[in-house]
Amino acid sequence: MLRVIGQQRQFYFITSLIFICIAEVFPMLTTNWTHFLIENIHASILNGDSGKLLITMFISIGRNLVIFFLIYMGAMLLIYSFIKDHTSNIFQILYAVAVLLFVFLYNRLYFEDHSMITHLILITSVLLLSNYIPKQKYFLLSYSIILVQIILSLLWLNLVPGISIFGFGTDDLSISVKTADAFLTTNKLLNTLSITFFILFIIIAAIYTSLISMYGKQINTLEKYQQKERELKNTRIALVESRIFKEIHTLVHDLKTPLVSIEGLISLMAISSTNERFKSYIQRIEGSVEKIKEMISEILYEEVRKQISVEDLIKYVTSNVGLDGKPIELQVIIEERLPDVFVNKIRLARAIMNVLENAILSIGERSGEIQLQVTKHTGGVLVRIEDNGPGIEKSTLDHIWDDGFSTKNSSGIGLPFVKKVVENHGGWVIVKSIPGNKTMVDLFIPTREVYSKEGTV
Amino acid sequence: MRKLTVSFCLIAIGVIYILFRVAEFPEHSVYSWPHLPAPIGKETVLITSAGQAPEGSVMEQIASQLHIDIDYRPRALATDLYEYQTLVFVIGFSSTSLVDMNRTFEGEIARVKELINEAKLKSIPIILIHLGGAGRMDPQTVQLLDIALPFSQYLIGLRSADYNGMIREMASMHNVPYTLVKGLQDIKTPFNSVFR
Repeated sequence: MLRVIGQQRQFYFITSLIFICIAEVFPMLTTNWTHFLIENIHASILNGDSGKLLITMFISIGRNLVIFFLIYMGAMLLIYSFIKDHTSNIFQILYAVAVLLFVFLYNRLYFEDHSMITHLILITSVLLLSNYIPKQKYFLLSYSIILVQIILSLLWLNLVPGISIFGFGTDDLSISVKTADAFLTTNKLLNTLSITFFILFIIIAAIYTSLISMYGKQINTLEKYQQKERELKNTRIALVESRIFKEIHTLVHDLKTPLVSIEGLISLMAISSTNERFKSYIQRIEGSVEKIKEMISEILYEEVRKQISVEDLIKYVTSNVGLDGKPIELQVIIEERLPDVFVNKIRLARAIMNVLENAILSIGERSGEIQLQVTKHTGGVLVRIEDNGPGIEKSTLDHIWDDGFSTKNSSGIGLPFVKKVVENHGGWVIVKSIPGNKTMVDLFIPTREVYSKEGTV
Repeated sequence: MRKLTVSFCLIAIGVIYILFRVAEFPEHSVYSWPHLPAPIGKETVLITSAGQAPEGSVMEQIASQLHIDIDYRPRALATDLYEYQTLVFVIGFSSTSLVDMNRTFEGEIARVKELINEAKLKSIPIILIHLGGAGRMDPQTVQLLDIALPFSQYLIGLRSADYNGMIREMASMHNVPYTLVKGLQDIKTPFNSVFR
């Protein structure tokens, strides 16, 4: 993220330098353009052609628009590459100083006398209106459009003959055009045209800014609504989960009732029979009933734990995972002499099965490999599930633990369940992925001693 | 308010600048010569530019409208003065025109000085015309005025150019009679009075 921000700032800085350099050397690069303007002014005077003068006016304004747009935009990007908040006082001061400096430099380079009062008003207008541009995706584009409109309006103001005594329109081309117009039309043409265009562009700039500002506010409101909707959705999911959990809890609890009857009847049958073979069958049924009772307890109460070997746990997991005839090879590697773990077998097995089922789903119908490896790790055991599926994109990886998040139209509660179960056992889970290559899920389960000492790892 | 602080400061600076500018306006009305009481120049007239501003072309048209025998040669040299009886400088510095003609301001100053010297030698009267108005009072134009005024016999300009009284001050300092007119077309009467 920091590198992206740094690259963006570098980009703005370099672009600003390019803009400013082009602006400062623009007259040197466009000598033909300048020659055309001078020739046209002379020709309009000699031929009494106010139409030609009008064309010259527009072209001269276009030329100055390019130069000053590059200067203003360049100054803006230069300061923006260091200070992101364009409404802050420090940004605005630096911006004003930068623009005036570059205009001064331009004046010195070409012995020009571009009016500083015009640029003062320009800068003020730009700063005022830019306060209302929302800080959103197309900020620079909106800023550029407003800048063009304001520059155009002030360039036309420069051509109003009556305000020259206040320091407006003191650059060479403006004066030449005004003098030619004074001779040809006694300033009737320029007065009308320049005031009209000045007012027109100022109004357009103001309207555009207010539209952008309103649009920005609408976007903000929409984002807030979307955020509230997401929160509401999460609350609904949590409520539904809670209801489902309660229902399942009650159902599983109710399973105990028929089990009690079975237990009672089995005991009676054991007492009333003398057949040894019959008695051994009864014992096996009693054992199975006991196991079912333990499983029900583990489902109902997550804090119920039992010591179990890793081999038994993994055997239980793999016997309940179905490949459904898919061409996927499941390789199980268990390190020798692993310590026993103290876990809620049903829940932890369910969590590991969840990860395996995700791996199978990601590989899909094509052939693939899934490796389930259990090794010793400091303080416990590490269960690693690695598949050679399509992997997970980084943008998706950031959200896999979010409740309800799913890329396969499922409920999205699987991985959050895995994390919850493993963390309740004092362990941790990490997912790593190389898109297009593989995914690796590591689950750490601490041993009983470590868990008892530290509570969690 | 914080968002608009800098903008308000800039507005204040702008207002102060304009007030300073207005403060430079002369306290009382400008009274200048309406025209010369008697002609001081003879035809044929050489009109040349001092600074290469397009105002030279305007002066050429005005002189043609007055049917005065003129030649407009914006880059005339001292050696060209041999066939003329009056020298008219149209003062106005145009950086764009100079660059377009591949000339420098120093070269332009040198040319103007040579023309003035030659006119002095031949006792040719020098008339200064300034048509650029308030906008054409940049340092370079003022420098050209300063060079030419001591050797000139008459100055015609626009009132707007003299918004701060500088032209009057400079002309008075060198005892040069001056006429300041309101509009460009008003130049005709005083210019005509140079010859008729």
